[in-house]
Amino acid sequence: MFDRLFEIVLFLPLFTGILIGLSIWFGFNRGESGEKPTGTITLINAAVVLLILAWAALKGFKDQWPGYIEIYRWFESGDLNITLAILIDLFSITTAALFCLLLFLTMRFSTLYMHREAGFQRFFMLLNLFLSAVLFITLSGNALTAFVGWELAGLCSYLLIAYAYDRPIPGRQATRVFITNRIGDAGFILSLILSYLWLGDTDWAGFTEKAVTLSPVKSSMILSGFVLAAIVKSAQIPFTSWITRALEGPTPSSAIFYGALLIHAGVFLLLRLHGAAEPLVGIQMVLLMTGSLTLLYGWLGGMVQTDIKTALIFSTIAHVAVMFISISMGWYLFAFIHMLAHAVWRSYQMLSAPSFNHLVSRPSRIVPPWLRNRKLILTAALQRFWLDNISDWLVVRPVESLSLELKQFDERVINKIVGLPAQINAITSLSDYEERKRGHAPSGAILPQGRGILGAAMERLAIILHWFEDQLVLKGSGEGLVNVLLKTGRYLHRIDGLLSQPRYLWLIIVVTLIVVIQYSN
Amino acid sequence: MHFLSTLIVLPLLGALVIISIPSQRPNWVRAVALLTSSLTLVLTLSLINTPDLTSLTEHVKWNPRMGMAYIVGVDGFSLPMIILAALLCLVSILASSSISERVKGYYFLMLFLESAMLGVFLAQDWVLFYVFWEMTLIPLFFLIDRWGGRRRHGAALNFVLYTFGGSVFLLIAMLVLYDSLPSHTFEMEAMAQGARLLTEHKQLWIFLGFLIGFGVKMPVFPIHGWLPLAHVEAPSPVSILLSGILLKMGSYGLLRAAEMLPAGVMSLQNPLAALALISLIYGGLLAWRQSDLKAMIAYSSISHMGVVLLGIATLNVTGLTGAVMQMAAHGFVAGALFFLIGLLYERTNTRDIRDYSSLVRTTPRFAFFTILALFAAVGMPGTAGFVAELHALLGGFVRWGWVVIVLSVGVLISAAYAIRTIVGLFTGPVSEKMLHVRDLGKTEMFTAGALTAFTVSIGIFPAGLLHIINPAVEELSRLFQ
Repeated sequence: MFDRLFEIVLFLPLFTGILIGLSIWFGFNRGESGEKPTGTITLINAAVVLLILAWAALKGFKDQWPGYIEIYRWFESGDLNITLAILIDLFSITTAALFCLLLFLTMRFSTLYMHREAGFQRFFMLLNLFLSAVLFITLSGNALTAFVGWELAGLCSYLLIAYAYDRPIPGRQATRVFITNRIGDAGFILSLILSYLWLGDTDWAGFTEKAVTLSPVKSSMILSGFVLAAIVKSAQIPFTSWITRALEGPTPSSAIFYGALLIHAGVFLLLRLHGAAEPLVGIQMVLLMTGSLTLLYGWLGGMVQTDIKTALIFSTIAHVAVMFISISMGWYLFAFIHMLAHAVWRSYQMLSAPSFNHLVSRPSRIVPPWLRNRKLILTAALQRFWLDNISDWLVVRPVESLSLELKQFDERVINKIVGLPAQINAITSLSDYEERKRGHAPSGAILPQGRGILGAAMERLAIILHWFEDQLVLKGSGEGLVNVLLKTGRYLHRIDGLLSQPRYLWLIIVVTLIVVIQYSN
Repeated sequence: MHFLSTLIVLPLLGALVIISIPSQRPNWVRAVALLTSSLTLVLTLSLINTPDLTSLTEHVKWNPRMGMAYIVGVDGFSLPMIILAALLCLVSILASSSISERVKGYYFLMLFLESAMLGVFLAQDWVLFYVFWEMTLIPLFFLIDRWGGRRRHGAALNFVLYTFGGSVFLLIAMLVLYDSLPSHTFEMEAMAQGARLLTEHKQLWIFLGFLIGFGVKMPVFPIHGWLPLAHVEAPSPVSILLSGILLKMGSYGLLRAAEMLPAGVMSLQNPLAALALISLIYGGLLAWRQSDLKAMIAYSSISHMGVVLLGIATLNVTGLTGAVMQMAAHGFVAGALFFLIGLLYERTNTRDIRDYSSLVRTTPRFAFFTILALFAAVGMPGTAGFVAELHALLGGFVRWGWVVIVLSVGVLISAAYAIRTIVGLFTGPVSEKMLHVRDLGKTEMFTAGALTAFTVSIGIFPAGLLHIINPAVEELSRLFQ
């Protein structure tokens, strides 16, 4: 009974999101009249989840935490056991309940904020999916379940950033954000594989005990993938720049995604793994370094921002950086409480950002004089430390030119070998058509002509075989047989004609007589 | 009740009735021919539900001193062939509506041919088999020689001489076998019992004789010289029978010979497979080269019969099943293709693919059936050809491993010419000449639809046919274990 409830928690928002999506598809809830039912369903669904979580938390505090629950065994193959599972303890239930509450409030806020926006229903569909993703991550009992939520969150964030997909910029920003996040996902996948390989499973419970028995190199490898995923998701150096691009989405989504919830996913993951990471100095150093650099980045960058949302984001990054530093120092409880408090405070700030100018009477703070006088640092802060440019130069452009070259290779070499036309477009088919209309059948269209190396070989072979067939099989044996018979017939006819003449008849009779006489002797 | 004899006699009776009809009544002649062949088809179809096929065997003493007997029977190999023969005979008679001269003679010969073909598949005595085997040549010679195309005389003579040349080897092999057995009988069962005890060397030589005799008919590379000319020059209904049934007689005979001489086949297994693969590629590539549509289908028949030979050469259950399936599948597909192309030729008087274009606009129904038949020829999933090729491929893979990749290449080539034909016939700019081509009429639709229905239903529900052929195939493959 208890376990079933958690399945509801995990899958109800997913189901609601799909329901809303299908309704959009079939046109049940489009337009303004559809806003109310959409919002109501979403709120009820979030409330139910929240109630179940609260009840589970109360029960947990009173009796004991239920711990590891297997939700669904996906498949088994040999020793490999792929399961979806949840882990209910103080840490997970608190985070999940708080995040769910924040999401519930944001949803309530959005029913008004998004009113009469095109795509209201789409937005709520994504919020529901995102709630599901958050629950998958926070309640996860193993890394695989967390990864399901991790990916779902990535997808939602991509779709929310590209919310106004009819404008060109959001689509581009969303793609950039998504691809940056894939770097972290790659790390996550690597760790998943290594965990299955070396630990046998990815369960959080027992992760530390098993990881400790491994050699430091192996456990560092497992951990480094998770740490990479955490750094990317929590927008730490050097992957910070995606988060400012992500502000392209509607304000409530920015609030919960980047202000409150998703940015903490990395911190949450690190807190889950802290036991295994603690003995690994290298990992701790990496966390400390990234945290410190990002703290500096967030602080300096935040100083020079004139736009409220961006300034808040820089502040958020700095706070998350502090959490990273705390984790590297071993102050886990502090990091945990910081995360929860920061989530609440930041979502309030983010949601009120649009009305900031109404709420605040004093003019916005200007850049402090000490920073104004240090031109180099000021420029660096204004340019956000050129992180975007560096990544463009290091990664994006090389990949772009490589793909261009590969494309050209494909068109000029591979297509020729395979025999595909270099480019099929309206122009070529039009000229083709004109040619045919004028009576010039384009070569190769009707009588077989092989294109490409294999095609040419096939054609050559076919020509040889055709010759063979014509010369030897048909003329030589088929028709040849008839010819030979005709010729033989002619000879026989002539011999017959000769034989029927009297002189030869006499000759034969005489010869016969001689032979008979010979033998009778 | 002499059910099987009735099958053989019924078309002959129809032929006799046709002779007695005055020649001013071509419609009566046609009606009698249609009635007879439909009745035969119904009778053969009723065999499907017969629980015990062996109980139908008829045994009449004929010439006991020579060990000859009149024995007719049916088993898993012959039953699909009999149904195929009866169906295609009906189809070709339906397709003969354009025959307008010497109608009486034409239908007489058609029914005579049907009787002879059914006799080949029903005979259970080698002499009887040989008699029916040669009997098919007589009507075919006249059908090609009198109603054929431009080069019909040469084609008819060539066809008869060539296949007769093959038959000589068949006859010699039979006689040698008869001579070397103490039982002195021509009954297939008894002969097989005795022949299996012969030494491998002897079996090999006798089987070679059978291989040449049946290989000419199948045809197998390089003794296929009669086929392109005969197929092209024969009138379309006769082409249907030639490619649909006559070729199957060869492979059917080969199966019977393999049943008799297992050791000989075993020692020839690899050469047989090599011949099969060569036929497959050779026929496919030449089909690709042809611009004459009928020649294309003729060469593609060589390619498809290569699959049959490969299936036989595997000598295992899967491969043999594939061979028999392919015999049936190719019968339906080649029948449908010759039928459709024949109709097209009647309407346009050209068989050159370069003269056609954009037929899909003027004759959509025609396009539908032709495209389906061509795809079935390639072995598209959902058609009978797929089931057959898959079985042959699997059986071959078990026996030879990756060598059967050649089979896949053959399928690729067949796709090449099928697609080329589709492109040539149905796409392209609208041309003046093609605007007034008549689409399929009702009877033609029915005929094409029936053939397509058989092809597709075997492709989707192969279990029924597999059930029929399975006992025979298992019995045969047991000899080779």
